[in-house]
Amino acid sequence: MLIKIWNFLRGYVKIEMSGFSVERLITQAAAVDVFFWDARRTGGAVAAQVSVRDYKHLAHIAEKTGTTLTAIGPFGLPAVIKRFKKRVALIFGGLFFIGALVVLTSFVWRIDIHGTNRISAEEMTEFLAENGFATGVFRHGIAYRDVESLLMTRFSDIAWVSLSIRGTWAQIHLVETIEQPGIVDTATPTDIVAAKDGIITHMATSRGTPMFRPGDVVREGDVLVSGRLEIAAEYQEPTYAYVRADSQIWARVYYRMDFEVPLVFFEKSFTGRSQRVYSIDIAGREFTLPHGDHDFIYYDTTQNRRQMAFGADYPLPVAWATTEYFELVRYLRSRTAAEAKQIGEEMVQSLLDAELPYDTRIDTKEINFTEEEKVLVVEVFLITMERIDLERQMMVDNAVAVIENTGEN
Amino acid sequence: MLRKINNKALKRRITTAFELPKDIMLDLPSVAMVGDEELTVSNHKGIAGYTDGQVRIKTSIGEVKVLGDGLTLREINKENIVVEGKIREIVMC
Repeated sequence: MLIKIWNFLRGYVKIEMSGFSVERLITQAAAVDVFFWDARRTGGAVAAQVSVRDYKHLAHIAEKTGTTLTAIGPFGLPAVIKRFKKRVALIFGGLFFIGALVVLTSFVWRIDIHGTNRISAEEMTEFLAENGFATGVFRHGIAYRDVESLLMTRFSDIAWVSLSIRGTWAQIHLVETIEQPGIVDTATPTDIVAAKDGIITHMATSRGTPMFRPGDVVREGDVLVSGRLEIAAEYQEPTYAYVRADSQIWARVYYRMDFEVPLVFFEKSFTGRSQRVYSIDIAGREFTLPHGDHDFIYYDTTQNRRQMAFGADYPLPVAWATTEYFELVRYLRSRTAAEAKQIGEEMVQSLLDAELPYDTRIDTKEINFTEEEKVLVVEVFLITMERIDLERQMMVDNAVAVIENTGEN
Repeated sequence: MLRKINNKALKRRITTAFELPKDIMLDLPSVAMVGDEELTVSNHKGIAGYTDGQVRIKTSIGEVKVLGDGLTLREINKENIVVEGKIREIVMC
C-alpha cells in the first residue's frame, strides 16, 4: 500500500514488453536497479509498471536486447499535475475552495452551554455576546481563561466553568454552586406593608410597631407594622431604633372579576394537505428556495432546522430549514349555555389555582352566569382569607441607632 | 585491510562458526513464502523464464522454478523478486 502511494506520487509508466527475450530484458534491467512492479503475462507480452526515471534506462536496454517496448501513457501525480497545469481557472477554483474552507473554519459557528440549571443559558449567551464572544468570532486568539473568569465574575452561581473549542464548535461546561439557604438579613430595617386591600383578621407581630388592629380596613401599600421602635424613658425625649419588622398578618380579601365565554366560535381542523418549503440560512440571512409555495389561508407550521457541519467538530454558519405547512379549515361552531357554563367554571378554577397563594383559604365563592347575545358572561365574587404581609425596606434618612436585633421575641 | 577469502570451504566454516547470515556471506539465494500465495526470492540473478504457470528465477546455485496458476511478478528489482499467485510447486534445479 505504502509503496503504491509512493509510486503514485513519483509518477510511473505502464509498459508492455514483447519479443524473443523479455526475461533477458528484465534480468538486465533488474541488475542495474530498475524497479518493476505488477508484472503479468498477457499473451506473448509482459505488462509491468516502472517509474518514469527507470523507463529511460529500460528503453536503452530494450534496444540492446532487441525487445519491443511499448509505453502506455504516464500515470501518477506528476502526470495529473501536468494535465491540469494549463487549466488555470480550475487551479484557482481549487485554491479558492481550500481558502474558503480555511477561512470558514477559522470562526466559532456554534456555542453550546452545558450544566445550567438556575442560571439562564440565554442570559449567559447574551452576556458573552456583549463581551465579544458570539458565533462568528475568530476562533484563533480567544483567551479561554479570560472568558471563563469573566463568566465567573458575572455569574456568582458558577462554581467551575470551562470553555473548550473543538473545530468551530465552542462548548461551555459549568457547574453551579450549591444553593445557599436563605440568610435572614436582620440588619436592614424594614416595614411590613399590605400586599392587597382587605380587612385584617389576625396579626402576630414579633418585632416592630403595629399600626393597625384586627378589624381595620387596609389598602394596598399601607404600612401595617413599622420598623421604627420608639424608645422612651420617663421625662426624656423619645429616641428611635430601626429594626426589621416581623409579623404575620391575615386578612379577608375580596375579589371580583368577570370574563366572557363565547357561544359561537371557530374550530380548526386539518385538511390533510401539507406543503414543505425549504430554506437555507446563511449567517443569519434566510433564503427560501423558490420551489414549493403554498396557497393555504389558514395553516399551522412546524419547522426543522439542521446546522451544516464538516464532520462532528466543524459546524458551519449554514443551516438547512424545512418548514412544513399544514392546511387548516375553520368551522363556525356554537355551544349551548350549559356547555359554556362548564367551560366557565373550569376557567375560574384554573384561574384561582394559578393566581392565589397556596395557603389561601376561600371562604365564599360565588359565580354568576348571564347569557347574552353570542356570549356567556361569567362573574366571579370571592372572599378569601390570606396573608397580606409584605416586607419593604425602610428609608431611614440619617441612620440613627440601628439596632441589630437578632433575638426572636 | 582484510585479504579476500577465496577458499570456499573456509568461508563456509567461518560463516557457520560465527553464525553469520549465509545468504550474504556465501552469496546464496534466500526464498521466503507466505502461505501458498506469495514467494520472495532474495539475492537472485534475474529471470530465466516467465509464463502464467511458471516462473524460473536464476540464482547462484541454479534455478528456482516456481509452478502455479496465474503467477504475476509483483516486484522485480536488484534484491528481490516477489511472485504472487496460486503456488503449487517449487523446484530447485
